[in-house]
Amino acid sequence: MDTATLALQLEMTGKNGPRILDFNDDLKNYTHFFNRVVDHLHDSNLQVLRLSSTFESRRNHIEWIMSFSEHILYKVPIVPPEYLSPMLLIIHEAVSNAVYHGNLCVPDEIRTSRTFHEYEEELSAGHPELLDRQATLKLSLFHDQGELTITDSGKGFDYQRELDRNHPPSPEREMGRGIYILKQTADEIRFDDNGKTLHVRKYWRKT
Amino acid sequence: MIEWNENISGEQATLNLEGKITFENAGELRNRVKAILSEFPLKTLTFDLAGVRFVDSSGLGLLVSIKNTMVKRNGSFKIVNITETVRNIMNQTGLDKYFEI
Repeated sequence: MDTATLALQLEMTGKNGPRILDFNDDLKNYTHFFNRVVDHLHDSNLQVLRLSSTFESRRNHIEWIMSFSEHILYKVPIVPPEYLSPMLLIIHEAVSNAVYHGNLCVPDEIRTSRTFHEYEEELSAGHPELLDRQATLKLSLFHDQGELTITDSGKGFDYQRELDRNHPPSPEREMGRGIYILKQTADEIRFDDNGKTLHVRKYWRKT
Repeated sequence: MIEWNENISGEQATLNLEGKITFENAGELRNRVKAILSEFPLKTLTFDLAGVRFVDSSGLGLLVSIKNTMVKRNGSFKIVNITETVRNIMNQTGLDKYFEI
């Protein structure tokens, strides 16, 4: 069924310079790569980690990139513990925004009535080209900050309206909190290219 | 990943959830809640979130929709045993008051 290739590069910089691990293959061949990654993550000399991945808008790709980036975030000795949840929240909102709104153009009424799995099956029958749409995620973790950039293959959107919002959506609204949460959680947020690219930065403040 | 067990008796039900409620799995949980609500004449639905360590905006949206549904049925939806991380996200979005946590 799905033979889509997934690309990933992990660059880990310690005292002895950068080490780069590459993966560019079908998802089913990923376990071996993951085991290689795990061997390197606990290096206490690690100072900078850069994750870069291009994936498609399929459920297995999304689940993979989410669990992989969470694993990296929680296992590398770079991010202070109190910033783990905020960074995980940033990754979730950024990826779901890029995939649901950007690439798959999922209407709100579908999001509130179908599972991702059900909607994916509908798309495979009617608009399989949407599932092929790619997103590129770049996550960089430094000793004092985290940085995320994501680019989707959609048409863009009126991001200024979302950024100008100074109050959370009214509590009984089911949708529309993603960008507000990003804005609240991040220290810097910027859209480019008509909203197709999102940049987010979060500083770790020493207490 | 989200898992839960269900205690349903009479007009009350409690779901004890464990994991994360996010855009990847919110739809599955929504379907189960819909099925429970159509099968049982519930007046009170409680989510025990002691084991939930993370929610994103889709997870919040699901909780809001369950509350809205229960209010429409003249019932109530309660969230109990919330973790600090989830409380922070609720506070950020002004939902702490809505859920009375």
